[in-house]
Amino acid sequence: MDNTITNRQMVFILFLTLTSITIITIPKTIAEKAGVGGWATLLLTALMFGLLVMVIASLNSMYRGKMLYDYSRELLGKAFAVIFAVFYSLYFLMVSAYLCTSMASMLKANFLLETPLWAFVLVSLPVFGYVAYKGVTNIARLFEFYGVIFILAMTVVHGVMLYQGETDNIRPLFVPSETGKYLAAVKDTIIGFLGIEVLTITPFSLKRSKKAPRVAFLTLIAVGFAYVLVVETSIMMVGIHEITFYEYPLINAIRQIVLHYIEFLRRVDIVYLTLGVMGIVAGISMVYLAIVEYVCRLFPRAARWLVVVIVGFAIFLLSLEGFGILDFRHIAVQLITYGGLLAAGVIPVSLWIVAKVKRHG
Amino acid sequence: MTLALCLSLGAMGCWDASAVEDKDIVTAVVVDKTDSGYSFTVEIASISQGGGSQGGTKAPESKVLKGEGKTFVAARESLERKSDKLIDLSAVQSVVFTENMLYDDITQYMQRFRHNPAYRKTVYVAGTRVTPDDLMKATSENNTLVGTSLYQTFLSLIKNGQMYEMTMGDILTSLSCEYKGYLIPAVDLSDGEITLIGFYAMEGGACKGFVPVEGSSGIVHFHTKSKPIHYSVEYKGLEAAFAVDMKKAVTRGEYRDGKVRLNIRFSGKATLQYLSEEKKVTDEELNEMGETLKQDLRERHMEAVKTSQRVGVDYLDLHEAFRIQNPDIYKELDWSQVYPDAEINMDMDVEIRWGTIDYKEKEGE
Repeated sequence: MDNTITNRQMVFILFLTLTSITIITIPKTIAEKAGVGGWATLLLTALMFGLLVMVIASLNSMYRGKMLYDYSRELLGKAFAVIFAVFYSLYFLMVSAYLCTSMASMLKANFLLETPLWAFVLVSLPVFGYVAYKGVTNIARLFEFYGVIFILAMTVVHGVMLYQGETDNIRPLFVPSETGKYLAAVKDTIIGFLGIEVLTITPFSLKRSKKAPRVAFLTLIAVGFAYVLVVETSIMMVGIHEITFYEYPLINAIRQIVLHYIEFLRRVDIVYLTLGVMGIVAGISMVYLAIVEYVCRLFPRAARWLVVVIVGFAIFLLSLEGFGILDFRHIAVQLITYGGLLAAGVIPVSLWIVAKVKRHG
Repeated sequence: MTLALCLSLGAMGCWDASAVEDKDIVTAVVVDKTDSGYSFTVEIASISQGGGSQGGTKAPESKVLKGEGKTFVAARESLERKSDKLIDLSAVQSVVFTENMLYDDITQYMQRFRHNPAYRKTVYVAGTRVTPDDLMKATSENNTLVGTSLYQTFLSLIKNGQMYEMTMGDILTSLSCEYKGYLIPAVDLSDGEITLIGFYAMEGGACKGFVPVEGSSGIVHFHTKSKPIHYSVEYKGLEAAFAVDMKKAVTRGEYRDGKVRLNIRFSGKATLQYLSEEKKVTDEELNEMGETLKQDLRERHMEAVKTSQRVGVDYLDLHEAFRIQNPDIYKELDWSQVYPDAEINMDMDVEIRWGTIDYKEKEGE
């Protein structure tokens, strides 16, 4: 089986993985930490992560058909490769528990009020596991399909919000005296751009992979603009102060849409539940796959189905533990932010430098 | 895959599964401040068989429940004790606060509302001096549900340009801002029909005054671009009716010598609809009518501003324009203090047009 992805698939993988749960929560973060000039914060962070994703994509291009574990082994030896694989496995395990608990909490808080949190994870994990079992090429094809629907739904919903929202709520667009606040908020938006590290498990196909770094960079910029659209339209609908009261502000903003003339679309939030959750499902499936790929590299003789089951069990247990910790998601965000800087920044950049030095040497 | 996901999501909903017949579906909520605490009066739409009939067709039947208690929690519990089914708030169309409640404080109730995901934020809101029991007896020819009747009344007023959208979500937005001035439409019963009688001027959770509907003309134009509104002016013994299509006001604000100065500019188009007599008029006469209309519009809108300054609540959202243009100064100001003394100038730029009925005097006639 050709276990690689194309540039187009990479675009959708990045878009859906990065935006999976953050797209719902980021308006609150921006309203609290940056204020009306949050768009500048988001674009600045997108630019920074655009450079990092270029590094990962260029490593994948240099070592076509291989993932980070394989080329780190070539560059630094087996010991480092194993250390990296263990780190990435634990890191992605943390991310998947965070995503699962967030998904469950969001669904419970907004749509299925009586359903216990564990039920969401228990019922959805077999689906994520099945996707992860099928491997990167299949998941990439799925992302192409989901991605198109998700982007279409997003365009329609946010287009309506742009029309119905109050522009005064997002003005003035930039207050020069608050520039320091906008810059300081960059650290709080990092979580929205983490996810680029999933490219460490997606070997590129041989065709047109030279263009991949540029395509990856432009995708990150597009994600930045998508976040700006989501944040600005949500604030337009709800108000910059009111939005800070909601843990899932996008859902609340969508609930403020009034479509008097379209009877079947009165509950736009339900439409979002159907289409928007696709993004969350895609994101979690991708992270699940990342753990499976690293664990399979660590234990090459283990049956893939067994690895999928064990990883699923680990995610379930960690999520249950997470539900029991009062501030779990806040703690997880902190851990993921710092871990993510290693996973998406320090490790790939170090490998890229070593690769360049070795090539020139 | 998608099928598996749908099945999974469906399976997750088992805990929330509840037949619609097992719910008391609320269409209107009236919140009152009583001597002993608070009361909730809710209108419940009946979906079961056996509704009354009007002219051969079944009319929706409703029942009214009332819960009282020292606190909102106690009032809700009292309501639940009286209900034989689960109270479902997801279909509420209107929330009404009594005058007692508005002059007391609605903040705590709004916080309850914010917290409840079942409640739609797009529910229309109103205030009333009518008692909850009397309001629930209101009927209309087409609809026996008070919640729906209120909703339809507001929808029609918004379409006619006599009101702008004011939902519970909008109140939450206003309450969370630094300056918390806004309006709540006031309704009364006239021959059993729900009628708009004015607006309650709110600052934070408490009402500061009442603006009668007669003096509220022009308020809508400060908030949104509305549908054309009809005005008539007296001109040389004639009554000329115009359809005035105004854009949202553009406000420039500055702070000088310790005083806020606001320049408000309205622009729009006025189209001649009809004259009280069948008479031909010249371009010059139409322009003179236009000048009279502009003067009238300016006075109406200026009166709206003066009323808001007199009441002491900036429900016209003039602070928003000032905040956008002077964000650093705005942070230092207490708008409640400076607004009543603000210097306000108004400019009315209305383009006068001939309508579809030919009143134009041709040359040589």
